[in-house]
Formats: sequence, C-alpha cells, structure tokens
Amino acid sequence: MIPLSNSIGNQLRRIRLEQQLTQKEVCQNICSQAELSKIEQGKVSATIETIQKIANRLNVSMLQLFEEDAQAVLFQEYDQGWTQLFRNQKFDAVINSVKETLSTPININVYLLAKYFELIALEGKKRLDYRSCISELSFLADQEEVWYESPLMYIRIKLAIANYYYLNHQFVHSRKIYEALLVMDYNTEELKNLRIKILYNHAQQLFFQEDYREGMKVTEIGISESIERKNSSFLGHFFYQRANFKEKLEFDEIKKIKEDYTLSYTLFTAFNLERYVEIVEKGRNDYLLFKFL
Amino acid sequence: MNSLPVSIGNEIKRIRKQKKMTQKELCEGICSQAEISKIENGRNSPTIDLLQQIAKRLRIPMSMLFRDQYKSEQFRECDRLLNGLFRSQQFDELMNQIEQIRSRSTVKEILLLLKYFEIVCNERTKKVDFRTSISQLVRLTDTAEVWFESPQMYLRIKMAIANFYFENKQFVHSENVYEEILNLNFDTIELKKTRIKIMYNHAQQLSFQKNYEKGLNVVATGIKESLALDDASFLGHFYFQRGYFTKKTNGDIKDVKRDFTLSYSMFKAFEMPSYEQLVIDSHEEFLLYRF
Repeated sequence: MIPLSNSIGNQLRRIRLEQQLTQKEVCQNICSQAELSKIEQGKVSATIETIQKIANRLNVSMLQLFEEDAQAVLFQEYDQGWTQLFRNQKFDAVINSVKETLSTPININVYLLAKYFELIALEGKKRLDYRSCISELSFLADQEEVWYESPLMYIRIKLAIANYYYLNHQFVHSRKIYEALLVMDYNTEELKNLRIKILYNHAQQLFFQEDYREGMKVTEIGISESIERKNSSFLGHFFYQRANFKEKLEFDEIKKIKEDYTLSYTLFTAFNLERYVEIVEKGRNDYLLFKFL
Repeated sequence: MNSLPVSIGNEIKRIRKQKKMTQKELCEGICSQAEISKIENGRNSPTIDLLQQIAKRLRIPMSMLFRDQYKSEQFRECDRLLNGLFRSQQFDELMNQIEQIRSRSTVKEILLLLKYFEIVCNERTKKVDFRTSISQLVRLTDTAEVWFESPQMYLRIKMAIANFYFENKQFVHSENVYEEILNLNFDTIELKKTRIKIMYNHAQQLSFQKNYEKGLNVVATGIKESLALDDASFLGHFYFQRGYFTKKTNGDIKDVKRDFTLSYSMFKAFEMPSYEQLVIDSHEEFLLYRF
C-alpha cells in the first residue's frame, strides 16, 4: 500500500503550485526548505503539527487534506471514463486503459477502481466466468486494509459480487452479501448515505425474489434512515417500493397504498426526477390522490 | 496552535475506549505504550504515517481524527447548555455558566463560543447596545484563522451580526453580511449544508422586507443546491417560500399551488407534522390534495 506521506506530499505540492508559491515562501518559520522538499516528495513523514502549519499557510483545512475524497477529482475522472467505456461494452478499451493507469503511481482508491474495472471488463468479454470473477473480486475486497482505507470501493466491489450472484440466480449468496454489508460500521456521512442505497438495492432484489415480507422490513428501515438523515436520494423510491410490497402482501388498507404512491409521486416531482414521475403516472395512475397539471 | 495534537489525542482515546481496546493492544507493533500514551494526551505530535497505522488498527478512516473541532463532545455539551439557557432567557444563569466554563477550559473553540454567548447575552439584556455588540462580534471574526479553524463558529457569528442588523431594521447592512458569507468558499459537505441553512434564513429576511423578487432568486439557488447535495433539510421550506413569493409577485397560480403542495408533501414524507399543519392552516386553499 502507498504510505500516506506520499499522497499528502503530492497534495501539498499541488496546492502550493496552484497558488504560485515557492517552497521558500511556504516553509518560512515552519521548517527548512530542504525539509519541505522532502515532505512534498514523501521522503519523510512529517508530524501533524508541521503539516497543520503548512496547511494554514496554504489556507486549506486539515480535514480537507485528509478527507477520503482528497483525490476525489482524479478518482472521478477515471471512474467516469471507465464507466462510460464499460457501458458501451468497449471492454478491450477498459482493459488497456486500466493497464496503463496501473503502471503509474496512484493512490489506493484509484488502484482498487482500476482492478475492479479490469475484472468486470474481463467478465464482460467472457474471458473470465462469473464464478472466477466473483472470487477475484472477493480477494480484492477482503484484503485487510480495504474496508477502512477505501470503504467506498469496498462496498462497490461487494455490490458487484452480489449482483453477479443475483444475475445468476444464486439468491442465497447475493442475500448473504447484502446482510454482511449492512452490519458494517458506517461511520462517515458519505458511508451512511451509501448505506441507504444498499438498503434500496437489497429491497429491490427481495422484491424480485418475491420475499415481500423481508423486503418490506428493509424498505421500512430505509425510510426511517432517510428521514433521520434528511436524505432525499431514495425516499421517493422507498415509498414506491413500500406501496409495491403492500400490494403484493394484499394489504387491506388501500388508503395507505395510495398515500405511499402519492408521496413517491410528489417526492419525484420535488426532486425533479421526471423519468420516475412518468413511471408512477403511467403505472399507478389510479392510485394517485391527485396529479400536478 | 497546538490544539490539533490535543484534539487528535482525545479522538484516539475516545475511539479506542469505544472499541474496548487497551493502549497495549492499540500500539502493538506500531510504537511503544509510552508513546501512545503521550499521543493520547496531546503531548506528542505524531507523524502522519504513525497516525495512519493507528487509524488502521482502530479500523477508522484517517479523516475521522480530523473532524471539525466544532463537533467535539465537549464543545457540543457547552453549546447545548448555553443555548438552552439563552432560549429560555435565563440570562443571569447564562453569564454565570460562561464564567464557570471559562475558568476551566482552554479549548480555543469553546472560548470563542463563550465570547459569542457573552456578547449576544449582553445585547439581549440591553447592557450593551446592538451597534457595540455588532462591532464586538465583528472583532471575533476578524482574524483570518477563525474561518479556517472553525468555519461553523465563524458562520454562526456572522449570522448573529446579520440578525442584529435585521432586528434593528438596518436591512442594507444585513443584506451585505449575507452576501459576504454566501461568497465564501464552502468546501466540505458539512459547510455546504450550512450554506443551505444560510440561504433559507436569508430568504426569510427578504420575505419580511417584502423583497419577493430577490427572495425568488435566493430560493431558486437553495432548491438547486439542496437537490445537488441530496439534502432535504430545507427543501420543504424552500418550496413553501417559493410558493409564497410567487403568490406575492402575482405569478402563475398553477405554480403557487404546485409549490405549496410540494412543501406539504415534503413535510408529510419527512414526518414534520408541525410544519405540515402550518401549510394547511395558512394556505389550505392552494393545496391540490390532502392526506
């Protein structure tokens, strides 16, 4: 794994250059120029106090410097590029681009992303069957450090595994992955929000497996966590899901089903999710208590 | 300046205890127990690589150790206590508590919090007039470090200034404060969420000033940023404000109905019954349906 002093050093250098400052200007009264140079190159591990002084001089906060998504921009660029290629089934292009990236110095997040795309592209090409792909992905995620160094990638890899199981009708396995994911420790804002997405996917899969009772429970958890966190990403979907479950379970209070569909309809409208608004309008018109003109 | 090792040490200790680990278990193979003890007490400034290993052993992301100090337990506790006294207008007791906390605390953020409450309390009891209070608050935020070291406190002080101006009908000044803070660089998610709250307050003031046109602009930005952040905290309120502003500017009645209905549904979906009732009581005739 890449030591932290490397990536922090890189960042300090990048920020300093962005602000068009010389090493001499930055290190004044903090440390020697030689030391700053070593810090920037990751050759020494500075104390947090020194890093703080440098960060203050550069007007960036420590949190910003150490946030998991510190290199988020770079990560996002790779992610968008590969996702697009993958969606268009340009698997060879993904594999080549990944190889190139892996030969350059990258942080743990990008490394995991690259490996992840390499594996799913190989599966896409059918050079790797889904079972082997799953075991390779599991090997990638289950190395000791992955969960806390890159929890987002950890979850993403696990979700991919669950999805492969699901697509191949191995419902018991896919369900186990979800259950294991949901008992992890979600200690940052970003992770807590991601947990809501996992709940939603899990409930969707339970719906297709026709386990409506269990699915309904998961949806209810999703609703209460969304409300508690004031998270709007999935609340509309959850209400829609709950109404679906209630229908399947032949819930006798039709009024409650109508309320759920109507809430999902208004939330989709409030969040400008036109595609979903249309889906509710088309599929569940009779259940809506009203319609926007 | 050395408050960072202290707060990091506190965090390490807190999380270690929460995970029921001993110092020995935490430091094994990483450093000596004497060193971990010094780090926890804030007497040693660890290197970032050592800190990385500690975080790994604690199974937490590094960034957790750098949480905004605003959020530290101690701070929150003081804030809760003082805020409670302020809201229930127990000003004598408030000043009393401020003195007591001041005599035993050395944390920079908490001292800043105490000054803030002292100033607003003196203004409320009319011991100091609002102009002087404002200039005292301005002085608190004058040093550049405040914004970087405790941005949440910085914003809170600025909002108090805007509020004093507003209460005393100095609308131009209060406007200027809002514009100034909204131009700052909100770079963390937490700050971006605070920014949404600021926009809501700003729009509220514009509503009292009957400046509906400008209010519409502020609310539009608020809605856009709430959607981008997936933050529903103020979305229902924003739709309510937009419905109201649109009504006041004789906008399309269809849009007014849509906005009030959206706000009503949001309050319902997010289980905020008192606001839900408020929409019914004040604008029932605009609602497209009722549950």
